[in-house]
Amino acid sequence: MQYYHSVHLNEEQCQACTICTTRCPTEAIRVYQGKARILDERCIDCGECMRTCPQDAKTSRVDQLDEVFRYPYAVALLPPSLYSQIPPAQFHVDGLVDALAAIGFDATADVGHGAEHTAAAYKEYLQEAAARPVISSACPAVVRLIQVRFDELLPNVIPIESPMETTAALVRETLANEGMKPEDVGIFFVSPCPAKVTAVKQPAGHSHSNVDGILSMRDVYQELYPRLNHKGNPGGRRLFPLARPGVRWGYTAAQAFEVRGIHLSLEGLDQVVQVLDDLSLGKLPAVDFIEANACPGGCIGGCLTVQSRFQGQVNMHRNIRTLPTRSPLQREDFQTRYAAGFYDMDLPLEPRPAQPLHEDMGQAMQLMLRQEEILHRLPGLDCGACGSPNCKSLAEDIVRGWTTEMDCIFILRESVQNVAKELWDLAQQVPPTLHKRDRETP
Amino acid sequence: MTHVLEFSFPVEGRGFSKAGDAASRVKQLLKQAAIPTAFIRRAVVVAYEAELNMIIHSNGGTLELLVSQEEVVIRAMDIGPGIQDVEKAMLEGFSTAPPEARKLGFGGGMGLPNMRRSADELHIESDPELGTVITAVIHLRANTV
Ligand SMILES: Nc1ncnc2c1ncn2[C@@H]1O[C@H](COP(=O)(O)OP(=O)(O)O)[C@@H](O)[C@H]1O
Ligand code: SF4
Ligand SMILES: [Mg+2]
Repeated sequence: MQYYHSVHLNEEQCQACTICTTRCPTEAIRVYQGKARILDERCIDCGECMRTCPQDAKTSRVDQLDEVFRYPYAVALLPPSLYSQIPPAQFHVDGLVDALAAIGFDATADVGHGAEHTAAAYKEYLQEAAARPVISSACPAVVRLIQVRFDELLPNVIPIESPMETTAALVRETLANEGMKPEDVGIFFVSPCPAKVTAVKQPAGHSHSNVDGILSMRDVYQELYPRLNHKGNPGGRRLFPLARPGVRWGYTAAQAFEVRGIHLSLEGLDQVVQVLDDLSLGKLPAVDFIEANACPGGCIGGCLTVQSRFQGQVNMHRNIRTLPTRSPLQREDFQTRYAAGFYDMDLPLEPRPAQPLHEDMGQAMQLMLRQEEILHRLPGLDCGACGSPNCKSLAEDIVRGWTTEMDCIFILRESVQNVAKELWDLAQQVPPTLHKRDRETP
Repeated sequence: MTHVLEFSFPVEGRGFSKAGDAASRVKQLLKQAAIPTAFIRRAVVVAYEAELNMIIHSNGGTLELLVSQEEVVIRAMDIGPGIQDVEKAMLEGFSTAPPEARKLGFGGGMGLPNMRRSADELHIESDPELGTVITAVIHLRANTV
């Protein structure tokens, strides 16, 4: 299986500092031959390495803005997090849409609207779900993390599409009803993070994404900001009504706010990993729902946003007040869709376990024996100088055949010492014919 | 039965803050060994309950993980004080957990019954002098999933 990844390394910029190797939540990064390498089968495109790289050597693949003009009718999908980027003084809910029209979008659709549907679908699902706690599937990095590191928890992940996908499906439907040809419509998500890019380019839980392109929020913001509140902007079109509850999904705790029962709201992968570890031991049995966001602060803390997470929080608090409080969701329309499976993922979430040392159990066990033996010889300092995140993973990398023990500076030093000692011992040996001469020369 | 892999993890009596550390390692190791997920899930339940019982009820001991292509064995060996009445201990809801453990939410009396449900074999030997040895075996055959 070939895995798509939005996050990748800009080789020229990488100084091989090894900071990213220890911060990656799936231990997906190694430094080999002076450059960081990302292991395809482990990376979840969370963007943590983009955040932590001091050289800005990690970047995300995104589509270019001019892709938009390839479609006769281009729609911008606006995530709730976008509303946290615009300073309150410049924010006007309709002015935003007009400015996007000035960039070239024929219409906009709010993922916050789709989130109202998603929230209602979560509520229904929670009433019938067998496996507890139910884990939100809205953050694609968390879904990938579970596939890669916690596949035993896949039955707990809610099999309902993300707000982004649901919104895109609603856009398709609305425009088809207006008589537009599907191929004429281009749907572009303005993404706060690289994980959403991967969720579109290689979806989990469905065969095909309804989103045609992914733009970086930074790229769009650069075009958007100077056009905000211009007198000459064309009148933009907003496809769906927007209200506060949906836009709150840009923060942590909005989802949990929507569902009944005992819930936890997690932000940042440290928290997420800690709780998933607990869950896989059967801890936290009383919890009904877990909202988990890979980014600190939720989507507004995504690494493709412009504002700092905290500035974003402040902006959001103010901007959201200009929106109506009541959810525009129509109960009957929702019930019909829910019953018809409109919100459901159409494929099961597959495990992507990266841990087995070999697919064959017998061989895997033999490799583990060697791994333990090697681990025993390593100093256990987890210094990371070898380019692996810690001693345990260096031992693993060695038995996988990716590297050798000499990558460990302590083992290297020991070997050099041994060689030096041998050299010294050899130097003490005097050939028989030199014995005499040795004595004669002063 | 000889096992290809043998690991052991020390467990401290009253070491509540470390509860789950040994069971987590068991999970990681079984994943590396390419054991199918359904078996891992059962082995982890057993390991975690055994680890907890040593923390709550014993003066400490060792959790062992033994693995071959045929079976996974979890063995919890502690240094006492032993289980007074094993038959009673196996009853659902029976617990002698001290207040300090109950304060932390432990002591539901479901640990041993859950271990019996999750393992194919469960052997308990207990002696007030020598301590308790609990051995749980999970057979790696498809029909026992
Ligand atoms: N390792 C052990 N040493 C001493 N007593 C134990 C041990 N494991 C279990 N027991 C006894 O068996 C009882 C039932 O255990 P369990 O079913 O795990 O419930 P709980 O741990 O919630 O009390 C315990 O309350 C304790 O009296
Ligand atoms: S994107 Fe996340 S998972 Fe991938 S290499 Fe970077 S830190 Fe690791
Ligand atoms: Mg117990």
